[in-house]
Amino acid sequence: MTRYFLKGEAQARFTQDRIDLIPKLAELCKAHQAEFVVVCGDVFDSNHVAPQTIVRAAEKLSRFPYPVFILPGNHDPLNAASVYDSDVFKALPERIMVIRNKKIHRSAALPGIEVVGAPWFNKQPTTDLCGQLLESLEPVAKGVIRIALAHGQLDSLMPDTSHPACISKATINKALASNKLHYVALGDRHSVTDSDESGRVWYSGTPVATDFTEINPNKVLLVDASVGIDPRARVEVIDSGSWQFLRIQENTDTTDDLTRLENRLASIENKERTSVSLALSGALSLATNAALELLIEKSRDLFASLRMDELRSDLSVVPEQLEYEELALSGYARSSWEELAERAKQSGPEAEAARDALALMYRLADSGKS
Amino acid sequence: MQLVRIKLLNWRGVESAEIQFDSGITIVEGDNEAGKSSFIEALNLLFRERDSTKKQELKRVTPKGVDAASTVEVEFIAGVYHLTYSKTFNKKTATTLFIHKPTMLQLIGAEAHDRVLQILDETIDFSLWQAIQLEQGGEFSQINFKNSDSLAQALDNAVGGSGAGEGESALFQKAKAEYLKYFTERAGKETGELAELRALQKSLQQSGSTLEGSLAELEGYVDDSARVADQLKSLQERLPTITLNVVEYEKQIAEIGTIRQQLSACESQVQACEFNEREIVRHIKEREDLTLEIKTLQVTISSGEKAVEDLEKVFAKATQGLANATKERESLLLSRQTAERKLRGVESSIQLRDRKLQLENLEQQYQQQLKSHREVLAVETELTNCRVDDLAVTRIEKLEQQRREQQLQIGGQSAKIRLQFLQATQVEQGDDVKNYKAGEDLITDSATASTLKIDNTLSVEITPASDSYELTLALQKTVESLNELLAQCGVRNVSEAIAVHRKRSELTGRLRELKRASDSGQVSVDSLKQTIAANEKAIAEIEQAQTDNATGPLEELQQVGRRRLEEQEQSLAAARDMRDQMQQQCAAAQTKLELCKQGIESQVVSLKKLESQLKSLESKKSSAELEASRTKAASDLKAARQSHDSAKAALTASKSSQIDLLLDNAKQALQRAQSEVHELDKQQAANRARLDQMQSEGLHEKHQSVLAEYDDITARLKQLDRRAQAASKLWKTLCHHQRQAQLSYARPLAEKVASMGKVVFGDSFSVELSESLNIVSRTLNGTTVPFDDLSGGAREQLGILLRLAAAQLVSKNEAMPLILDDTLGHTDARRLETMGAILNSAAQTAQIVVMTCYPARYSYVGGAKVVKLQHQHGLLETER
Repeated sequence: MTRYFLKGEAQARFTQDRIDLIPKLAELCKAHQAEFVVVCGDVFDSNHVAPQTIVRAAEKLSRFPYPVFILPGNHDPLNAASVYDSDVFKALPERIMVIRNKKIHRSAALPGIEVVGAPWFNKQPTTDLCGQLLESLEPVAKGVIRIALAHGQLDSLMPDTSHPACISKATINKALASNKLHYVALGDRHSVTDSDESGRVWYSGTPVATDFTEINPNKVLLVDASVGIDPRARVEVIDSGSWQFLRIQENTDTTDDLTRLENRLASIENKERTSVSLALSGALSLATNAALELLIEKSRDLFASLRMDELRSDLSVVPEQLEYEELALSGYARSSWEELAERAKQSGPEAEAARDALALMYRLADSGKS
Repeated sequence: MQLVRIKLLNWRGVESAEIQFDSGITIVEGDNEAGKSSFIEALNLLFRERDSTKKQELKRVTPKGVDAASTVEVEFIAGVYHLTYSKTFNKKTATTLFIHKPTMLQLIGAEAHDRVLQILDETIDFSLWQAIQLEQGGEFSQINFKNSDSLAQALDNAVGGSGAGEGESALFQKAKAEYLKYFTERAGKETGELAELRALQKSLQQSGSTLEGSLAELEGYVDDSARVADQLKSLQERLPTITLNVVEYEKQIAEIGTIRQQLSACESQVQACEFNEREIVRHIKEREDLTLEIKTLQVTISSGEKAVEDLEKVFAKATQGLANATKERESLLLSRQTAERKLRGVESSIQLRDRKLQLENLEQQYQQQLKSHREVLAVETELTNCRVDDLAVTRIEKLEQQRREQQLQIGGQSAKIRLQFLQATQVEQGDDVKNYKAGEDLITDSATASTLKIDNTLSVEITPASDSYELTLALQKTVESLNELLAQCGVRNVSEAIAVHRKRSELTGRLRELKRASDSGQVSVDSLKQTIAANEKAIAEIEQAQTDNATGPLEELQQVGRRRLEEQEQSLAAARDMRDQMQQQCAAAQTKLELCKQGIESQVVSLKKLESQLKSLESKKSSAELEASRTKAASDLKAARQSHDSAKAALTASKSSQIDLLLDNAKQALQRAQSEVHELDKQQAANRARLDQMQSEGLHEKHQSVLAEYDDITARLKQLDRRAQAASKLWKTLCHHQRQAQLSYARPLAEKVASMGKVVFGDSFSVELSESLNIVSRTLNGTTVPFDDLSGGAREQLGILLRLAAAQLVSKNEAMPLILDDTLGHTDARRLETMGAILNSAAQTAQIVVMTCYPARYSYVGGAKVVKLQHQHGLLETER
């Protein structure tokens, strides 16, 4: 996955970490005695990824010692270009299974376990694939645990439920109540979400954070869906990823504010796997602005990425009288300053250019003094 | 800086010479090649070049053939320093500096040179000093003030500014350098990193678009594959059904084929039986028709013979009718001729009677015309006797009147006139004007002629009586004239003349009436006479032609005759029609009769022929045999038709046409489905191949990578753009303000030039200076002329004024000598005087040195010290 805000080696590190997640998951399975893994869509960012990406992922999967059920999602649908029809995927061991239809999938290694899924066949289905799957199911035989995999948005979580591909929560509830299944594993949302009071309908979120908008990313779920005294499935949220995408919002009016921002940035751990988006606001003096620019420039190399969020930022540079006097300008330099300062008081792009010009003038004149 | 003295040794034409300068103005006079310019040259080289220089410029200063070095020595004061500085070039080179003040010090060589430069740097604006010097033959044009900080400072002070110091210049240079990082200097186009990033962004945008296009194409193939797969699936499902249909329909078609063959055989049988039956029936019919025809013909011949008899009767009757009609017509023709003759007799009698009446009338008219003619002749005769016409009577009456008046005058006396006024009246008599009251009288006699004007309303002329003798003579003359006239008119007196005149008037009126009556539409007497003769002739002719005279009322007889003639005509026409009709009937009856006879003959021939045919047929096969054959043929046909109907019913039951269509359709459907499957397979294979090829390109990551890079470049570009805009803004603002400042600097300099210029050129003088402090134009008496368009003299004078102004402005802070080498060559005498005054005045604040070979030009400079250079290289100094 390519992140637009990651550059060079940071992007390479991010890509590698996502591939390395597969062996890491194997370790987690071992640590938590998990029996198998289900992935509910979007294993790949697209069906058109480079062959080497497919080969690398397949190579890691081939070494994965546990059964894996992979459901094609909206990013990697089971269409003519599907990655799952590539030769390397076809050559994977039997325990790595791609859900290609509504049939019940069983593994010799998993007695008493049935897995069903509603794969996506294109990027824009026109019906509730999960609903169709569940309605086609017969009740589960005694002693068998059945897990359904689906991809998409639950209508109960959507403000607009008119989209025909929305997953009907009512249908899921009906299927659970009719003993057609015991757990519904959902994919698409990047945030871990317990979607039903029954505790048997979960979005597992993303195992590696990918964007600033995600809530509680870097997680996998350890699920015990067996039917016992507790009607709820036992679900444990486990850390899996180490990337973080931080959006920092600060007021930076004074040098104290700047110091606070500097401390906050300094306190962030694992900087090489952290992307920072700065949303700053305030009226800066020329000196403070120069210091802020220096801080950003200095911090940029420490983090995987550090950028100003221009949309959320509201910074204005206002020259102070003190700064003007400090420069002790005369002649045409002085009248130039005065004109720019007058324009800087207004608003609009022209005023912004005037403010920037003042800052530059301050820097050039000041550097002449020192 | 102030020059105290300069000394040269072996410098070009000067063997040894020294000039002592005044602190004000010093005029160095000397002929050409006296060495004036050598002093200026030496002064410049002293400060500029080291003694060790190998420049050709310096080698040339040592005179040829002289085995000695060239030395220049200058004593001058600069700021707090008082120094003597000398250099020897080309041989035994040396540099010596004596600092007299503030601290005594002597330096030699490079140290001396550097120290002098340092002192100059501290105390004067060397570049300005060089700029304001005006060398011989130099252009009187502009001065390069570009590097002159001191002038800038002076001007800045003059306009009250705090002055832009080195810090500002440095800032200006840095801002420029910052601007040039992003933009080119002249065109202001993007350059450097900004331009590179911009190009990269564009390139990435294009790459992104290309990749997006490829991805869209790829997705298109994916979608197309799905569509093709759906179609294939649907076709594969339908294909077995379509094939089964074809087999089933083919089986049904085979069964129908057998039925069709049976039907075909039955159809042939029916056709054969039908033909046989038709042949027999035809023969029977033929024989029956022949018999019937013979009978019919016999009847026709019989009735034809009867018709011939009838027609012969008709013809005889028609012939009789024609003869009768012809006879009747001839009788009628005779009757009509008789009636016609009678009518012509009546009409002739009527014409004769009318002619006679007309003749009577004409004769009456002729008698009347004759009578009128005679009366006119009588009146005309009487008129010749009455000779008093209108003119004569007028003259007689006038003479009679005159006679009476004269007679009265002869009998008259002097009259007295008395006027009594009934109201107040003004009377004018000649020149005398008098007012009369009511009741007053005015009495005047008629002895003298006079005129009375009364109230301007009435004028009374009073004429006195003439002499009686004269009056008598006049009366006699009048009487004679009157009598003569009466005699001419054939009358005895005036009253007779008047009576004759009245009769003449009546006769004239009567004659006019008679002539008018004779002329008004009446035929003349001769014409009437001719007409009467013609009528009489016509009557005679009619009477001669008339055979029998009609008696009784002629008009009634004429009408009866005409009516009778018309009746005769009608009868005659009817008889003619009857005769024609009868002729036609006769001809028709004859024609019919002949035709009828011919027809009968022809029918008799035909009848014989038919009877012969019938006999021949009977001899071949009898009628009974023929009837038996017909019965058998009908029976065979019925049987064949029954077989055919059963076969046809079987074919109908099989729905053969429907099955044919269904089979045909099923075959085409199968063919189409197979073809579609084939096409879709091909399409799918092509899609697969294209997909495999494109899949291997890793388009998604490439696209993501380009997007990421584009985003990064865009972000960087935005930052850089912002910096570039800031740099541009700052640079342009500084440039603008610097230019404004420069323009404001020009003002004090222009004012200084103007104050001096007013003395030389007059009060209306002013100049405009550019931001680089050069003269743009001169305005005099309201006329502005660009500097380059001015005369050589004016340019020279302005050039000196500009230098003087600069020197004076700068002198407040740091004095520097102004050296003018042979100037004012283009200046007239009047301006030489004013220029002299200006130079004298300027010398109060700035040291001026003038070199000239025309001393007269500077004779107007009052307080100048004059130094004379001589060829003998000796010096003669005088002070004026």
